[in-house]
Amino acid sequence: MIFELLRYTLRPRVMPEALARIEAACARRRRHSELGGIWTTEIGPLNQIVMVWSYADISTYGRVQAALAHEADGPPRLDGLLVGLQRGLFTPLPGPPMLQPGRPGPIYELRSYRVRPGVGVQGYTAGWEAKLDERLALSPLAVAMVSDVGPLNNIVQIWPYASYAQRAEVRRVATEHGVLPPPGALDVLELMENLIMLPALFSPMQ
Amino acid sequence: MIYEFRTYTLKPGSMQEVLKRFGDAYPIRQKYSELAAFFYTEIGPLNQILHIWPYADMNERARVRTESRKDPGWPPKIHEFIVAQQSEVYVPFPFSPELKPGKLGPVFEMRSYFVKPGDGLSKTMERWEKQLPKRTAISPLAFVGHTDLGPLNKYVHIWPYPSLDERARIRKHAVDTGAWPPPGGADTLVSQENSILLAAPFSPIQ
Repeated sequence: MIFELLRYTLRPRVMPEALARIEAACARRRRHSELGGIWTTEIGPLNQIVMVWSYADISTYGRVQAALAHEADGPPRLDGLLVGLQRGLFTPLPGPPMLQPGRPGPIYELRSYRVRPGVGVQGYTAGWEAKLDERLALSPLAVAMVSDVGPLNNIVQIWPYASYAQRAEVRRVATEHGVLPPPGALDVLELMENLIMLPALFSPMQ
Repeated sequence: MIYEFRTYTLKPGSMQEVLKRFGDAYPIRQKYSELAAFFYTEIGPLNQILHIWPYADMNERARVRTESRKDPGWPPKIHEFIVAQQSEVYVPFPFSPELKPGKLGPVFEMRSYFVKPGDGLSKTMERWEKQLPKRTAISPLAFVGHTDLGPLNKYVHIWPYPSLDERARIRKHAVDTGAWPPPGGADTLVSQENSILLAAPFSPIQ
């Protein structure tokens, strides 16, 4: 499985227009590959749209991109609205089936970590796997992945919560029980940031 | 009146130790001048502390900093944990509340906006002054000011809330009733971001 993480940065005050254009283009686009979710940032860098698309493997990703380039259903026209675009390809961390359509939200926390080059990713994955079941018993995971193309040594996790209060409670319990941070994580993490995003109305994950 | 915002990025896992050492050393620094607030990040770039120091002017700042650094107990011994340091000096908007000790939070949202050079800031101030009473009738503002030193054409506003869920409710209500944001914005704003901050135990603002 390959995940494509897209982050559009828009000019301030044009979000509704951009979402309308993306929604219009999405129906056709989704014939080519699966949209995991589409969100807008609520806390963090604002005026961003975050999307995750999934593909069976890297050659499927290549085929889809080639097909889109030749068809009218390429990316939506965002001329005049867009100020930045970031794309990364990721492979899943060990875990349950990811990006399942449903309503585990509506509060989604995206956590992004940079791990030390070299031992970093493996150092993180071992601790992640060890505590995964205990962590998932507290609340579900939308996706956890590590960069393959784009800024490297980047781990991205998206966690849905029913409310901010639930998020705070889950994280408090996980920390108290030694589930968070995963063992060894603090030895390999260099930079950590998180943001809160809310699903667009047409997101398969709500 | 000026406010110096000092933002330090720390190594992952060192926050509790840094807060302890800073808090223990703070009574020494207090002999020279007092903190307005001391926050750490909960959502946004993680592992960051933000200390806000008020001064009458830049001369007082220079005098206090020179004197306090002659004291053997200051600055706190936290160097080994610091990854990056940034200092910015803010001038409050004329109608900004003063950052006075008190129980305002415990959740603080800091919103940082870049505006267009030229009349971006003056237009913003005009519009804010007109609109702000409608917004503060719903929930209080802690501070709004623009940079004088550091990245320019930037302003920040800090909003205290009893909880993140309450924040979401209040902001929705403010938008739905037309109380906020001030009209316009597309013509002045360049980029927007926000973060959620919590107060350290020794912060005068809680």
